[in-house]
Amino acid sequence: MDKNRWFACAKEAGFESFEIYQLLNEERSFTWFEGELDSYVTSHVLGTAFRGVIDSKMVNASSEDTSDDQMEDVIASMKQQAQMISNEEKADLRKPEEIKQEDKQIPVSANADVIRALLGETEKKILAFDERIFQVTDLVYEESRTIRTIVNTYGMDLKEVSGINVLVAGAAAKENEEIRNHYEFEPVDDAASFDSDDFVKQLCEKTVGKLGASTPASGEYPVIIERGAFTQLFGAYSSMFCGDAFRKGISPLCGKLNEKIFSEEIEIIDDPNDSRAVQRYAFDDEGCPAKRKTVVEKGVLKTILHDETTARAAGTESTGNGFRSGYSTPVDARVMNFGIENGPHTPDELMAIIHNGILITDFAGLHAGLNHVTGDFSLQCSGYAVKDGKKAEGLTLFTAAGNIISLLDHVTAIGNDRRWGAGSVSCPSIAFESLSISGS
Amino acid sequence: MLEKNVLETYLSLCMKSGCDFAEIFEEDQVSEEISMLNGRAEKASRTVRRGAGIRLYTGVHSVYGYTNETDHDSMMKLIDDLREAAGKKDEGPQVILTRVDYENRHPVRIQFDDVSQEERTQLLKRVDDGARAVSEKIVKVQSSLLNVRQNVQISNSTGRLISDTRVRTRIRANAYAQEGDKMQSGFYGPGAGMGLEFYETTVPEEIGREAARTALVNLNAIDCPSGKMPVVIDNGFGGVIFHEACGHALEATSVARNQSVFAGKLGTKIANTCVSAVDDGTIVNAWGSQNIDDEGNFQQRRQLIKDGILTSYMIDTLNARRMKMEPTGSSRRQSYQYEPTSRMSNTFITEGNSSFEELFEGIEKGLYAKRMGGGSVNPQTGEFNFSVMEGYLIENGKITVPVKGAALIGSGSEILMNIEKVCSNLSRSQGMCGSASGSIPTDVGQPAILVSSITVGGTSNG
Repeated sequence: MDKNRWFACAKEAGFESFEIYQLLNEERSFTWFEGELDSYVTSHVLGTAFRGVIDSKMVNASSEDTSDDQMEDVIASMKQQAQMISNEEKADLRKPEEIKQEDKQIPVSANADVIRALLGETEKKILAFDERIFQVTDLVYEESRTIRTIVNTYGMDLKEVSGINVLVAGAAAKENEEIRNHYEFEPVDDAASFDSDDFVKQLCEKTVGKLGASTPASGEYPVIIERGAFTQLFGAYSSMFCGDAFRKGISPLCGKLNEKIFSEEIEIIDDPNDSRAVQRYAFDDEGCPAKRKTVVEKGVLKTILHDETTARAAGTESTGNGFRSGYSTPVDARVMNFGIENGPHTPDELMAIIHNGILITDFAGLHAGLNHVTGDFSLQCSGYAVKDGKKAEGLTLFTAAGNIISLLDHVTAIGNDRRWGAGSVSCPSIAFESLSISGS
Repeated sequence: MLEKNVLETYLSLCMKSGCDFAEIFEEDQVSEEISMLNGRAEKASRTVRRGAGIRLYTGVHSVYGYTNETDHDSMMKLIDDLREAAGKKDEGPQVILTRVDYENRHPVRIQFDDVSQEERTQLLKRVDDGARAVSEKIVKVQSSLLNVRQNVQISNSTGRLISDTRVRTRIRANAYAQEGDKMQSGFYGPGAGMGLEFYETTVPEEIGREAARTALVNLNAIDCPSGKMPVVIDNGFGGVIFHEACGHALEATSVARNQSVFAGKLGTKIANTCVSAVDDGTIVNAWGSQNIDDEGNFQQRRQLIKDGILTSYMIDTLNARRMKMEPTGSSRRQSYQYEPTSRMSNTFITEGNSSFEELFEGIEKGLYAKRMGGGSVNPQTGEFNFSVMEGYLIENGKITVPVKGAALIGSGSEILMNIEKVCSNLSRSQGMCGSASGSIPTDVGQPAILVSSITVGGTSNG
């Protein structure tokens, strides 16, 4: 694709500025089932997205066919779009600026024999861990490599390479006709030297730990939400810290900037280039350099996360949070390497602190059971009873209902067990004063 | 789309490997989404997706590769990579393709790009007007119009060459009602496997009104009580209960690997006698319909449950091999970027004999779930959850005050047995279903049903 030809064509059509964003993604995925390689998937996909500004209005298009004969059609359809859009704020693309890019560690691409060996051994270890585990339901090793480029008519010319390898496993256990299952994900730097013992232990203990679970009596309980479950819940609500929900007036945090919203122990940071994260980004999908932002400090809301458009609407600067969820999705203000900072307590100490209550380890239905306008939630959970400061019997098929803002304003203690996984959000385990539990 | 002779060359080359079946799925999709906030069109995007996926079977195992660089060299590189994985051979059968023609069951009268952008945007303006006309308390309206046209061509080593064009449209509306410092939202999102003629009968103003009505009900709703109680779930999107509690566990994806509570249960009673259910991918112009599935087999109507007895699973060709059963034309995928597998199409409980009033008879305290949100299921344990978007208390057989924040949870095998009455007011609603082969359009549906006991998770323990 001759990008300069596209720029010239856009200019001729009347565009004030024009941007070409490309994402080249290559993946390999190996699925293992019952002692053999079950499926292998390989892919090579180049996605191209265009943004252009005409009459101070921003328009979007994306295509997987960028041959020259498509050029005039794409640009004409973008021009048409501009005629029907009406914006209050003047839109523009970013001008280039110096961006410091450190050398990033790209994980090792393993050869097929190494991957087969890793999957085969992992399956054997899982099955040998506990005789109640009868099936390794899922076992997948995946490598993904991405090259992201942004060029625009202001002279921006950015490129970043990233990659991640992940091992995913699921196990099922059975006891007296009751079946329970569990999944775990783990980033892998090098499949040849990866020691799966800890991963297998965590997966298997959680799987068999769910057996014999009962349903708790309904009532108000002190709770601990384990790091994985809390990361999911908090991540699902992350848009309430982002510019678009403020611009539309539908964030429950509207009008609360510089106010105390959460307990004093809560500290929230967003940094796309956080050195602790598994995937790091030196700039966002609009070419704005990554910045480290304290979103909440001592419980006070300090920063709202913006892209270029929401920042203009709020009369402020982009915080470098303009990301796409895929190459064809328009840019939106999104969190990136975001979450609650560690507190001082080990997970065992959290149980000692609440003494009696419920430890929630899993939520289900997060895409449906949340009210993003009010912060209310009512979700299916499983976990354990906490008795006399210790983990006791398993619990399942109950719901926890509450409000995310009120929950974070009634924190009892924060754990020190935060872990950075494959996602863009991570939190430690946290103990809360109370949640409404509905069970038997 | 690739020419027949090119496909024959590629498929024949694929067969020079350890595989016993090869398939090429080509896709050319144009879609657009326009979104409006408070009467102003604020975002529009147009997307062209064009690529191919090649799949080889060796017994019950598969290798799959996809790319959107479909020039000869890139395709040859991909095929080489897949043959390597399946075990290269020098010999293989020559594939000769024969095109399969058929009558299109889902005709489209108004293609979205035959109508001006202004007229398309005007549809959303009408949604906005409809919502605002309901009440002054409606302070914000957000809506979007999605139009998709997907052309697919599927060829395989059995000599089959077949094409389909799938056209879809959907408007999603969110209305926000405010009173003092309270704000609540309401949602409505109808769609169809049609062109823009859909909005001649599903009037945009009505879409806005329905979203606004739900938001206003929730504004005055009290906290939902918790505990086990009888629940009447109304028609339309209420069918998400069957989709989650049973549908996913009847997909071969989980049944073939013995990862479903319903594996090995064909011919046995899994639901109360009043329950019959189908998965029907042939309904004319329905949201979840197609002429052919994503392996090129004709879509079918599958009777899943008849009078409480399990009569069929939903099976794709690869899992059919594992299960030693016939495929049911149920293989679907979001795009060429996904290997297809067994999925639902339009799945619903069929009409029963009870009147709507009969469902409420004798209920001292219960929940009437008029509109459902989404949900999810763990097919292995059968445990499911879903949220109630609009609910009311049932007190002494009568529908009384609105309640908010309810979630329903349970286990699939139990809930099917607890469906005590089925009404005759069948309707279907549209949703997107996410699973192994991506996000695909599916209809859920049912007549109103009475479930004798289900755990309701609410915010009030009183």
